[in-house]
Amino acid sequence: MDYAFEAHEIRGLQAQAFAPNEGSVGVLENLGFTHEGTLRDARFRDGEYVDVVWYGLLREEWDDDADATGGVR
Amino acid sequence: MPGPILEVSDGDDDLVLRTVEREDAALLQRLFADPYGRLGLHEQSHKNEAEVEEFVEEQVEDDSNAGYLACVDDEGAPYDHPDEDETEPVAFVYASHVDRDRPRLVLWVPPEHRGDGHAVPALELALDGLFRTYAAHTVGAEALEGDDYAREAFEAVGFTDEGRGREVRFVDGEYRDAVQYGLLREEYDVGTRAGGE
Repeated sequence: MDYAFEAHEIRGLQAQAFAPNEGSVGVLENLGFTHEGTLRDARFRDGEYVDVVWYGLLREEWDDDADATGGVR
Repeated sequence: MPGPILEVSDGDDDLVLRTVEREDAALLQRLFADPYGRLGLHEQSHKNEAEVEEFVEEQVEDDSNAGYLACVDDEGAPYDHPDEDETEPVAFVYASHVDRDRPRLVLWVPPEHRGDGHAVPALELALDGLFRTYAAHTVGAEALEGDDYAREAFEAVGFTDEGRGREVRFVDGEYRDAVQYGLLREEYDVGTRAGGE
């Protein structure tokens, strides 16, 4: 993320995860991403429809001194 | 001009859905001149007519996508190939990834037809066709903040506002939010708009 914001003139970052994937959702929230939406039943996975959660982080919300938690590069 | 009729409205709006033909590239080129319209197709800039012909041949004609032109037919317009003075295209509806979990709808109405009341019946006809033709469980759509007629049309046919990507698209001079819409099959009654089954 530091690289993305430092090397590129981007406005922000977007991320998506399957709602049941608590690991990914937890990482995004720890990184300071904001939950922007939940697409209902948007993907079929492991035999059932699952929601897809959308997260976003704008440049001014990015904290380049943040101590990234757990194995995120 | 558009080709054969795919869906016919039960209402009194004389609207039909017709196929998109290669010669409709000239009409669709106007979509790519509309900064909001083209963003729905993930295009940032305008296209010349040859590029739009390529879009028709490579995207609209791809089996994983479906394009429709909603038209107001003159009385006596033929089922198959109407002449230019026999039908008037009033909306373009495009569904991408119809073979996957969640097809995505794009709506574009030529500026001179906005406010004519065709956007909602055009979307309904396209949804009838989609849900009848493909096994999709849900349909999605994205509409940018500022693209009011599209947002109103998606909400009027029953799409749910599922969230908003903040400032994710740069269009018309600034970053704008993109509203995400979703509609589940079970929330949409195919063909019941005008007292069907």
